[in-house]
Amino acid sequence: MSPITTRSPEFEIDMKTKQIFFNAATVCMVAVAVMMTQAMFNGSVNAEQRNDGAGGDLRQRVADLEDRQDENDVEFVLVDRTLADLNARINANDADIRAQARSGRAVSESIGRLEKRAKTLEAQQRSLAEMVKRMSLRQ
Amino acid sequence: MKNIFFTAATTLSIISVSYLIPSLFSRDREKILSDVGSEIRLVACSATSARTSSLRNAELVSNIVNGLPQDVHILLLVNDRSAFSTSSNNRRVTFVEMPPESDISIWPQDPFVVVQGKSTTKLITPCSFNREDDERMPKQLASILNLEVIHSEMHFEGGNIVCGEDSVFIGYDTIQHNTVLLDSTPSSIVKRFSKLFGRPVTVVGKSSQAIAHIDLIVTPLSGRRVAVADSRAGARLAAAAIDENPGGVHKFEGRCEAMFFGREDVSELQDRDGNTLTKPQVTGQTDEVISASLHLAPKLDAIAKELSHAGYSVVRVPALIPCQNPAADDLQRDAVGYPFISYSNVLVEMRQNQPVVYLPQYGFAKLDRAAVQAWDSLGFNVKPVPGFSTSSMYGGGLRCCTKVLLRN
Repeated sequence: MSPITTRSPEFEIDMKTKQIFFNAATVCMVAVAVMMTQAMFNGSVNAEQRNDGAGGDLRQRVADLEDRQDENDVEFVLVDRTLADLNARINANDADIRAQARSGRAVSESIGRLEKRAKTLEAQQRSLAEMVKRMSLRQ
Repeated sequence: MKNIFFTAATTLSIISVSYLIPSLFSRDREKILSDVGSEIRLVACSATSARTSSLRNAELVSNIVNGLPQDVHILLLVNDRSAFSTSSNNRRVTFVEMPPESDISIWPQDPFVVVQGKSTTKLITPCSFNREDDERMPKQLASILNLEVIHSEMHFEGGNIVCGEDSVFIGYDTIQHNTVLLDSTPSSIVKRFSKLFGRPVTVVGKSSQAIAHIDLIVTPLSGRRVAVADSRAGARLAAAAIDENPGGVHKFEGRCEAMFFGREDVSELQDRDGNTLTKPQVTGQTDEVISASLHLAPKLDAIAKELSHAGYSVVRVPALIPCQNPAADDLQRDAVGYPFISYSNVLVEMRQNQPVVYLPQYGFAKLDRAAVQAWDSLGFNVKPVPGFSTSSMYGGGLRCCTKVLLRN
């Protein structure tokens, strides 16, 4: 047996121990790497869900909105009450028009009265003028 | 020594692979919510009251809610909650109150888009949105649904974006607008939109748009099919209606005019500044609108041809389109007049393996019937939703009045 090929049992045991140690270290580092990889993936998914609101979550939110309400009507009717309130506006306009018409009638009545009075005055003026004419003829 | 080296190398490679995997395979790629897809689950609508708006849509909202299936939940944005009452506590509708003093339109389609990943939903808002206080709509919806709002650098309106199964369609004006405002090139704007929306972009049109929003004229369908409005067909149908039943057309015109302010007996209103708002003239205008529709037809044909060249199978649905004022600001929708009778502004879904279309109806009997037939012949189960004559006088149909937030 040459001295080169000769291995003492202690040396072989030492080598085996080292081998086992390195294998264990490799396995541990791979495991750590895998865990880091998973952590990186999970981290990004969580961040997106937190920031953006996931599509799945959006569906859930829609369902939540529906749950908040009681009934499920077959027919939906949206009524704009302010459109009906236009009645009030139209009525107010009509009232304005009526008031204007009333004041118009009053004005026309007073015009009528004035015209009548003017006619009376004209008649008086005419009679006075005739009287003056007659008196001047007598003189 | 060798063992240490191998152990270290193994560990390092596992760590680097675990680090690279997420970037190599996108975890959860977010895409703009398609207009074609499975059952609609959640929709946003908005209602304006008579004391805050000349465009009163309570009845229309009722029609939309009742027109959609029972399992669709509706978030109803209101800025004047006390003005509204409902028949009873309805499980399908949740009122979302806007902040006090905010002024909203009836078009929740425009101020944002919805993007979804496998597990995320986000609302993307444009760089700026200047129609009343509509930019507050996504914030309110996000707060009630606990969603994230992403403020984009891009300028867009939801109505000028429609999304098919494999591509998002964006109107030419939006690309051009961003090119100018962001001092960029059209191709780079397209790339940016593609990145933002997570889908390839198909630009609709090659020059300034004749119709402000493409969702009034283009409807993506499943299987690389697209429906494009046909205003020539609409004009022919309207002309035939005048020949066959002039009284019916006259009645339609009269009803549009009479119900413009929500009540027949209201002929004019005053706005907040004291300006008088009057009803637009619709009576006797159908002939003119037929001419305008015929004039517009070649432009719609060109869009149909363009999409056909892009590999889409194009089908046509009738439309009667009044003269569009190119000077009018599309966001203001202030060119109020004859109804924009679009049967492309629809909601589409697959329900129990059957394609379903929710189709707006305007009260123009011959056109409404022809549209139902057209969609029926495309294999759709047609669900007509009535009462769109007034909203269409402001230029919007069913899609404009809604925003789909979630599909199953």
